Amino acid sequence: MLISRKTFLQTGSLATASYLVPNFLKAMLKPEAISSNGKILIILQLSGGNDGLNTIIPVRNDIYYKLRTQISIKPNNAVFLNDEAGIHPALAFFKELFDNGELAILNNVGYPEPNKSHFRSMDIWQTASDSNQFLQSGWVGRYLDEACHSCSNPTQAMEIDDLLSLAMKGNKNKAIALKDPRKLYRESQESFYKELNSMHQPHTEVLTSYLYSTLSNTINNAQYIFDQSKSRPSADSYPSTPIGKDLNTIASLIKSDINTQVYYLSVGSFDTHNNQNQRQEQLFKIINDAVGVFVADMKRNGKFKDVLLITFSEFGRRVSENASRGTDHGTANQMFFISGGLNKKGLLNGLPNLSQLQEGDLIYSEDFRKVYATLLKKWLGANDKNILGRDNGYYDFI
Amino acid sequence: MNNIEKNRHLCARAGFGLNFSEIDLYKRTSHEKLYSLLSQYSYTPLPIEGFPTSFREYPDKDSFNDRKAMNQYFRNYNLTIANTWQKKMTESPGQLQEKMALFWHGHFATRVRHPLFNLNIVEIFRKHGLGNFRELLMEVSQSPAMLQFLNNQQNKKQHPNENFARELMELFTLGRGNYTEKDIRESARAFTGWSFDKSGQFRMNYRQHDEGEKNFLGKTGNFTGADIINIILDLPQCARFITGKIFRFFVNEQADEEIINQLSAKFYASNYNIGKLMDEIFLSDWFYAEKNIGAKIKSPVELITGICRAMPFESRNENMVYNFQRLLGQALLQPPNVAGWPSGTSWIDSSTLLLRMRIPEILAGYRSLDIEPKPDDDLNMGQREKEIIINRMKGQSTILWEKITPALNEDLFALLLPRSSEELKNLLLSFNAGKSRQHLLVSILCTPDYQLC
Repeated sequence: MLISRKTFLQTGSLATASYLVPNFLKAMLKPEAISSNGKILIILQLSGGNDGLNTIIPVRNDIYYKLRTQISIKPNNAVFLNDEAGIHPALAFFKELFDNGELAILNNVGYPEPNKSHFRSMDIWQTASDSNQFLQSGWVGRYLDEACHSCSNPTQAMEIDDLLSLAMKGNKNKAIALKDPRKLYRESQESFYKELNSMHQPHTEVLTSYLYSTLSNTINNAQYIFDQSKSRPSADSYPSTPIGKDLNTIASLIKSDINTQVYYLSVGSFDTHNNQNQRQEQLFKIINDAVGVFVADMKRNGKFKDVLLITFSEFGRRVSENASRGTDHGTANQMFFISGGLNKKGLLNGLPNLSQLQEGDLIYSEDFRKVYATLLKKWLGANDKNILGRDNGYYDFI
Repeated sequence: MNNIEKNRHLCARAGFGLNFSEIDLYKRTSHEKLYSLLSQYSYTPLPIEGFPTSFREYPDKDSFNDRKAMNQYFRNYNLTIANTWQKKMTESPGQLQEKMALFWHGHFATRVRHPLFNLNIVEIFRKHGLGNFRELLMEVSQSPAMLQFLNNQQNKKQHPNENFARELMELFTLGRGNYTEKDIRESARAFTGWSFDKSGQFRMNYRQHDEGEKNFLGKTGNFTGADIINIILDLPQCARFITGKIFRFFVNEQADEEIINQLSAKFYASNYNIGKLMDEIFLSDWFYAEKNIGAKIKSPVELITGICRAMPFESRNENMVYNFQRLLGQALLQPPNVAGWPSGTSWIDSSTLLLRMRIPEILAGYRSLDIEPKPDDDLNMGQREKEIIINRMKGQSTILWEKITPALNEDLFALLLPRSSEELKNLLLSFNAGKSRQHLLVSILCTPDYQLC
């Protein structure tokens, strides 16, 4: 009996069912499996809710200065991008990228009925769900489900962290998380695990089989990633900050022959309820320095055209400052796109409208799922409608 | 299946695994008798120490120096609740009461900051968890944690907020496809005015209540919130939905429709007596059928609590157990959203599996841990959290081996694993050749097979 992939996927539990299917059958069931097009996507999560209005500053807007008498960034401190928009002074390298046509900025990105809990809003961004919908898989994880039907090294997506984010968990495949290839390698190659992995009897129970294949994948992938990471060690001196180390790891993998297309990392915390300016400046400075070295590294190795680094945060912050020289949780926010291969550069749309707010918050104008659709379709060559479960339209910056 | 295997299965599901300091009990007790011990329940509040448990003694907002100090207080208090409950799960002879409370915590999932709201709803789960579902549902619906989490404070006559009404039907009682969007809108009107006062007491705000006529699930009347809940409970589908969820949590994630239908008919006929439903399950023959053995992946709380019962230890770090559960994705009082925790294979990825397989060795002092938790800005308010470091040389935990000496001489495989092949046994025995029984115990706890129950 021939079953279509769709029917197959609808039968029983997704996560467990795929382990019952022999590999040759899995191969038959992958009409739209993706072959790598050599494009790399790096997702930089700004955890905690970055204040977008002090990132891209509306330097000609009286409302902004009136609502933020203490923490606004004055025109003479901002780095001007054009007549009405400035960028935070600690992001000087981003201005350089902007001038080179290697940075695109999409303002006012969000979603309907915004949620102001960090955790919940982050889940919405990571799963690409509606505000009142609860998904147990992430958008990159579902990309991985498509990209890795029967691949031997399911390392198409990787998180640089000790633990895996929901964004990276698919229905069938889960990405691998590692802080450092050497650390994971050391931890996974112990003789106890290897002996468990080399047991001869097949695991007939579905769940036992799932656990042992996860163990086996971990051991194999740790070895594969570690070997790849050693092949082209970085010559550049990356800053010794966490993001500096993470981008260094990513750069060494990009320069190797690894099949990874999506890297995920995060920086925080941007939850600036008090003394915002000091904290935000510190965080921007470490991001600015690390991204500067990374871009130079990519350029020197001829990779910058194929690398796209994006940023997002679970929400922006309120337009008005609070009494502690900080800001409270808000809604829409901007996203950055950094690459040597952009179709459109600079500010992709207008700054948020500060004269029309909803209970003191920005009203989003761009849906983040349209951004995801664009990245999946136009950058990674994947079927965005399958992965996001709906038609979102596309942007044309890539 | 012999007696000890039956008792292992029963304890894994009706509780948090065998208590290794009582191994004699399991050997000489039938599973029916053991179940009567596990399901005994008498409600006593959690013994919270160092914090006021009533609003009367609770510190005023103004008594904190600043927001940071108040935040720290919230955090410590919530940790104390989680740790105290965790200890109860580990030690209570009435295991089913605590297991049931954990089930309801995932079913009626709330995530709020106020410690007294959290304590209140946990006590509702512990008090009514084996009682009557009707009372449980009403108490939960009127608890400050639920009213706040699902925004019913903002549900007012002029501006109805549908959040609670939607989740009440979708997640708490009927499941999707058993009501319409119109039923949600109409019932939301019935819940207008449901709120709580400054001391967390339920309060009916009549000024905000919509007294008009509502059409709900085919009935018409000037319904109140309580009427809506009663109309829902009149539907056999409600009993079926709850029974199905209980079956998947306590028996097998693969639902057996025939058994669920039989159970749910009895549950409905008993007017929602939860204790009776659990008796039906755990005293049945089918519960011990081969296909239900090892058919579940332990959640982080089940896993760690099981380890605490098999290998009791003292720790200088009172948050150690909590930290492990959090790193593995299930911190008490912190369900991810109103739909509760995911289950089954969603718990397992390469990071969590390796960590699960290392925790027993970390506790036994065989190895160290150095891991950075995901930030939780709802709790930390922007403060960067340190890495969780457990240095094996510093002896942060001490295993109380003397408590489990008799158990160590039993068949450890049978006591700990749902099933184990000869190959696995030989592998573990030869891996620990020349070492103590303690080492063998730790090794078994570190297998993929121990993740199942």
